[in-house]
Amino acid sequence: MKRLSEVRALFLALAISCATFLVLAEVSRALTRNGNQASAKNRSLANLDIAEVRQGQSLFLANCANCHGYNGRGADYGPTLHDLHAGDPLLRLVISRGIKKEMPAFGTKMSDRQTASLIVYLRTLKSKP
Amino acid sequence: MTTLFWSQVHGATTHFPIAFLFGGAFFDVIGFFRPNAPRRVDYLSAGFYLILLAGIGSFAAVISGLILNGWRLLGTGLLLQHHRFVWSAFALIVGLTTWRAAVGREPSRPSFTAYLVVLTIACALVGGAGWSGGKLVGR
Repeated sequence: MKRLSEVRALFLALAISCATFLVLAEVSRALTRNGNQASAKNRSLANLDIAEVRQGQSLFLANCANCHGYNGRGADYGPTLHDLHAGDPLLRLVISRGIKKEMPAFGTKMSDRQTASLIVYLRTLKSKP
Repeated sequence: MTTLFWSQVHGATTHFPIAFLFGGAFFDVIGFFRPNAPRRVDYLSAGFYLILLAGIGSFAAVISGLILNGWRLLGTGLLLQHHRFVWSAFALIVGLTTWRAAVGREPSRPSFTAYLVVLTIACALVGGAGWSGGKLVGR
């Protein structure tokens, strides 16, 4: 009798685990779709602030290109920065605080405005134009 | 709410379920390998409640992490590695918590053996998630 209830509990556990992931995937899809639509609207080529992109590019060349390559496609020390999937908040965090033993922090070197410009430039790096 | 705020919330909310999970596994293992110990029921009770707390706490950790990452489930590079550990661990934790809650404090010995094996795998995955997450947040 107890074994039967344990098997039932196993099915319940699998069902709840799957349901949790379905809900999370659906919420993530809905929220990132809205976010991407807003981002795409803001970042369409027509809306890009060329001065900001240029500032981001010069910051990139001065601070990031050494490790990530001058075209951002990755080099010996840093991975490619094309087609980044991370959201802006996380990119800001990584740039400002760095990655332990892997990437230096730029929080004291760059202002929030400069970090934002750098992210705008990074968003222009795409494998397929 | 700033990114720094959410990164701090994520840091705070992840460490509780990690501690509960490892603590729960510890007490369950003691209860399993010492079936004649006078405090066996207490060990199993501690394991039971700690795994329940780990399951509940893991939702707060996951949701704060998703907010931090703009509700994206995967990502690239180190973030992708972190998420591979996180999602496998989270699936196991939710399953283990549900099963334990449904079965109670003292499952039958064969089922408890399987439970402890899966719990060990979950602990290893949580360790991997913590390690890759620690590298992500920097110093």
